[in-house]
Amino acid sequence: MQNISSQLSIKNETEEILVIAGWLEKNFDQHNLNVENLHKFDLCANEAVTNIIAYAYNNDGKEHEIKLTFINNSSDITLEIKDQGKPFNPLKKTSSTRPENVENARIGGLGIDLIRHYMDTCSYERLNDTNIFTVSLNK
Amino acid sequence: MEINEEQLNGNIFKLNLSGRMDITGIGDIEKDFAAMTSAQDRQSIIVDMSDVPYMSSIGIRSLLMNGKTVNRRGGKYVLLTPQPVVKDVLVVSGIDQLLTICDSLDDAINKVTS
Repeated sequence: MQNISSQLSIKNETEEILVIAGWLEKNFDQHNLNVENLHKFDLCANEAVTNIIAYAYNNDGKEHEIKLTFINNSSDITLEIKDQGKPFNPLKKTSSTRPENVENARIGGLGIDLIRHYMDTCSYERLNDTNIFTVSLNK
Repeated sequence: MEINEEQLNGNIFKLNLSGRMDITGIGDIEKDFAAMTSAQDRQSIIVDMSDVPYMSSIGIRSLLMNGKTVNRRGGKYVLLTPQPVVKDVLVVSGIDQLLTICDSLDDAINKVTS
């Protein structure tokens, strides 16, 4: 059975990303969760939402909502991120190959590499014109 | 974020970063960071990371881009004492293979002046 802990809605503006860290921290406090994992969710949420703001709306200049849901389950912590932008599966970005030197370094895909590294599971689905990206960490 | 610079002995420049290296933080400092690393007479640059509690892919891009600027003119550029969670992100990303990370100021000074 799920425990839906809390939801956060933000606008598709980079300044809004700043509130995510505080919201996550509050959730971790409220549920006495291991703070070592807070940083992992902070990073993953930031990377995922930054990608959504950059790519999901084709810079249409309109205001859109991005919804985050934090779920404290008995066996894992799950974060679900929903947006109604164009279909965009971040997991399709292949892992970036490690560049050999500074000159050749490219950063595309690094965000999703970090998410994959720090989270135990990542999944994506498209449902009712909504992108749903879910990450979770086992307790 | 904030960035300031101090000149150490021997024409070494230490750039002190503070705050979260996320998209807004980088936005705050990117012009100054670029100016500080592109000045032609600066061949020894230490980026002090001790006051940076958070690193993202955008922060990594900024560190790399500024490193490229210095390397292209034959200069030396190192990162100094990143916090453990930040260092972990740098290692996971493979950035520690591209940029030198120093654990002490003495080590950093040696590396940028060798």
